[in-house]
Amino acid sequence: MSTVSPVHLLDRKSGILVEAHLIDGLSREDVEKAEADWKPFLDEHVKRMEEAGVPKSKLPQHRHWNWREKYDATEEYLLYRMFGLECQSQMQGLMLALTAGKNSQIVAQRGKPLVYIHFLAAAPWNLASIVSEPRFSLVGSVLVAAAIHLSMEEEFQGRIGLHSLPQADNWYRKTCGMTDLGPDQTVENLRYFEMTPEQASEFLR
Amino acid sequence: MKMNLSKEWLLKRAALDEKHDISAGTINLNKLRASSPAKQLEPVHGSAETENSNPAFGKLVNLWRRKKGLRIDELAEKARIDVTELFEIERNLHYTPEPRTVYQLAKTFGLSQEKMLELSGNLTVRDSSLGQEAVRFAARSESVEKLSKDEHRALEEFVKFLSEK
Amino acid sequence: METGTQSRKTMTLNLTEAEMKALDDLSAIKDISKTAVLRQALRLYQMIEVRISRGEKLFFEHDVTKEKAELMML
Repeated sequence: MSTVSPVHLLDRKSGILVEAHLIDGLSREDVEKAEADWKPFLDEHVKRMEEAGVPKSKLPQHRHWNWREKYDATEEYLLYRMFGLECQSQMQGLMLALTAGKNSQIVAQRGKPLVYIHFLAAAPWNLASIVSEPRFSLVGSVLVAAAIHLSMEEEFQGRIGLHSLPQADNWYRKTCGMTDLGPDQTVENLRYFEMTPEQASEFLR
Repeated sequence: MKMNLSKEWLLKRAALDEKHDISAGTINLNKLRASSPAKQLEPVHGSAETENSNPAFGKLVNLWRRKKGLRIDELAEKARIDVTELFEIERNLHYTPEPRTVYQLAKTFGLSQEKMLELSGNLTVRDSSLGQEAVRFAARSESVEKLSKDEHRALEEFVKFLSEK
Repeated sequence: METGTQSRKTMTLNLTEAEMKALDDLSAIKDISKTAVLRQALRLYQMIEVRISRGEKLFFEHDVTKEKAELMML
């Protein structure tokens, strides 16, 4: 069963907020449609970037992700929640969150449970690294806000954690104000970030 | 889950979000997928039995599918597995499928999960008789469009063996 | 306005004193309600059960020594 909340995204061309929907609990069809929309666009643009000699480090680091595989691997478990951000009949962002089994690594709150963002991505036409004029802004912020709300609903007081893809490190550290716990050797050396309840409150303010 | 974000908040965030590509998560999907403890604790070394058991798995899937009159995409849909992986299973004799895929196929075929995991190369069982049966089955099956009588018989006998608990 | 809210059902739980104490302790340690503790337990148990049924085993691994100890499973 899914729930739908009205939200807004910023249409970059017009500069105005447009109606969108946050869907909590995507169906397989939702995910398949998102893949069907995203993959050809992403593949075509990545191919152009490669042909233009763009170094691998500048290519979108999640270009090989398959959201249908992620859906299939997790849909039967209560502890996973998959969210989609839909606008103008297309999925603008996806997020897979884990609601049990992950605890804070920050010393002051070690052992306290948090919502772990397993995967988060914006649609390829929203990525500044791929297109000169991304269509929508706020995808990341709305999904992070959703994770914080989920954490509060679970009584985790807004605590969230995630492993950032390098291109987004600065955003989580500076723009979101999250605590950077450094590279995690057990997770491809990706930097691990957490938000405390205080940081979560600040983010939502 | 309820969420209410004010337009003021959104506009404030929009100014901060300029030119940032937001993403999180591992490149490798294996963190999500079921891992196979047998692979870690009892590495599957090349041996006559294990080298031959993969071809038998692919052949089993192929014959079962054709017996049911299903296309590859139809079986993938029915078993809720990735169609690309199903192609690999049937065509690449040395492909080791993901444990979840094997589990889903075992459920769809109504066969023993443990035997299917062993057959696919995901699990090693000491003193197993599966290897010999797998070789016998693989040797008797040929790749033709319709199942021949021999293929039918080979498939039925192998399925009977795999169904035994 | 949110649409499609998940309905919830209420259940009465009969626990021994020791179980109730464990539940109270976990609630205090995790700083979440007893209901939230039980939800966590259910989610983890379900995941364990699904993976065990696929032929996997559950282990603890010591962070420093990397020694593995199998969890006695159900």
